[in-house]
Amino acid sequence: MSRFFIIAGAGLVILILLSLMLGDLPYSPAQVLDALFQHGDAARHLILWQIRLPRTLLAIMVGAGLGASGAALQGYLRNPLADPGIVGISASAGLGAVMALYFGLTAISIWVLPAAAMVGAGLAAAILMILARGRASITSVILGGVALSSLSVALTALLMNLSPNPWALSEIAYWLMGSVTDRSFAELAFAAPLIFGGIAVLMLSAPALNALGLGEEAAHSMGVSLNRTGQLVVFGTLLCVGAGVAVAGAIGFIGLVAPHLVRPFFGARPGALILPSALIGGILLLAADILARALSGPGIPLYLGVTTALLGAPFFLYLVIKNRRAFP
Amino acid sequence: MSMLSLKNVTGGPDHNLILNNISLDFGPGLTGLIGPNGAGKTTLLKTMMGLILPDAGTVSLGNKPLNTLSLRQRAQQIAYLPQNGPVHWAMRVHDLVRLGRFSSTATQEEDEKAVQDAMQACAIEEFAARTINTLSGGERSRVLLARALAAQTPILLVDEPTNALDPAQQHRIMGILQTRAKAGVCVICAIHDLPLAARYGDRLVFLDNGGVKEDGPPGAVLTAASFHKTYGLAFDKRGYLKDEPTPI
Repeated sequence: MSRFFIIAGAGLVILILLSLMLGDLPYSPAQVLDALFQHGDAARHLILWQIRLPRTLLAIMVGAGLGASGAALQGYLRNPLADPGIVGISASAGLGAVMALYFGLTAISIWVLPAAAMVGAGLAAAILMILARGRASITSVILGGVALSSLSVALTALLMNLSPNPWALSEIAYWLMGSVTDRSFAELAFAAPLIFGGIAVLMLSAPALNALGLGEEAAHSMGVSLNRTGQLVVFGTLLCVGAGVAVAGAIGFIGLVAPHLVRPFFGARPGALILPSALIGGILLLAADILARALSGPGIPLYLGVTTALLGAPFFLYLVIKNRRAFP
Repeated sequence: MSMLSLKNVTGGPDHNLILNNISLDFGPGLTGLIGPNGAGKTTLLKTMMGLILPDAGTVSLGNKPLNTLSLRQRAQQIAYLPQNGPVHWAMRVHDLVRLGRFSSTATQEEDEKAVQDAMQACAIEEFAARTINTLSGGERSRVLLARALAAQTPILLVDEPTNALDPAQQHRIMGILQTRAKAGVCVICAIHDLPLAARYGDRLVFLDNGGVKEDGPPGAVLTAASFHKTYGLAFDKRGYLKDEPTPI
């Protein structure tokens, strides 16, 4: 366990340094440290503080929110294939943002798009909470989520279909691919409190998620409120994923893969996986962003959603093959 | 001494009225719930646990109606071991048994002591660090039972804990329950195996068609007449089951 935190912590520090070094103008580690802590070179200081640092921190934050909600959702739905995408919150947040883009509302203020994404995520979360109420089976939450997700994807496709010109279409398409390029501390200040809050809410559900591992009836007999657990998980996911999609677009696979990476170190109890999954989620998204920048050609940016899927999907397949006997 | 009582309870899952006006009192000791499939044994256990709310009548713990207790208060009084309970994750045995302390308000040390005691009672200490998916059926059953024992509740509801186990494992499980019952715990155990029920039960409640048909010590409940009436089976002179079910 402590070995995990040492390795992951060291990995995160190295990736942060790498992320700050990379860019149109590559810096040496010494130049990065100099610009971070001293006002040596004004331009370098500006680039680091205004462009590279917010982007780096935002990638970590968004990844952490995705990782934590993936772990909590897998525990709640008792399904190792669950992630924020499966319950429809990502897609609904994406639909909200695409509506803002389609109707040109983003010209009013830079906050319209994140707000629209949060509203979309909030609507999906409200429907999921209604589904999770009473003594509803958890399967109904999964099925409801799949339906919500499909509907949101369909409506997003409809808006792209109806988009007035190729420029608007490409704006939507690029946004959907996800990115943390050119984000500032303003976006970080918007997303970070929501994501921290979301992770805290998810942590409240941790003991109940462990007990749910023995099935709904046993958990309920042990004193778990299925209602409250469902609401905590959905609300925490809304905060983490809604805020993530609002500032970085739709990014898949992090929530799915992160819990699988930490399970060997922390045992299989879902509640114990939330924080380590947040850490690994942050690392994965930062690594994906670094890869996206490293592979981008001049004028051809590679989007974050593309690299996370390119990294995540084969890796996930590898995990499934390796652990195919370990799933009980 | 009544620890758990049902008064005129009628109800079942989704308002399917499986239980029909059942009144029972349970005190310390091991009570076997017997009866054919569909008699209402599991429904009765779930109703006593509060997982199924009765449509009429009341379930009381001591002198308090069950539905006036919080989830935590209830869990501190009653532990429930479902039949064929799932384990969704490859949890370590110790972590799984520790889940039994979910509603505990005791200190960490007391919780750990309860976990150790439960693992010892079920003889599973040696695989405390192993994961549940590496155990045999018998070992797994004892681990799940240990989870319920770890709660150290005065009442223990167990649904067919000996299913799919070999005879030695069946006796082991029943022996653990009997030890608890002798220590003053109210153990209520749904069970199909009648010889096992007769051997370990202090009292048997014979359910059929949602009602109590017989209630008393095993010798009084398990008669050839009640057996024939409920299961439609009879014995020959040697004490073997007759080949063909006889019409009731």
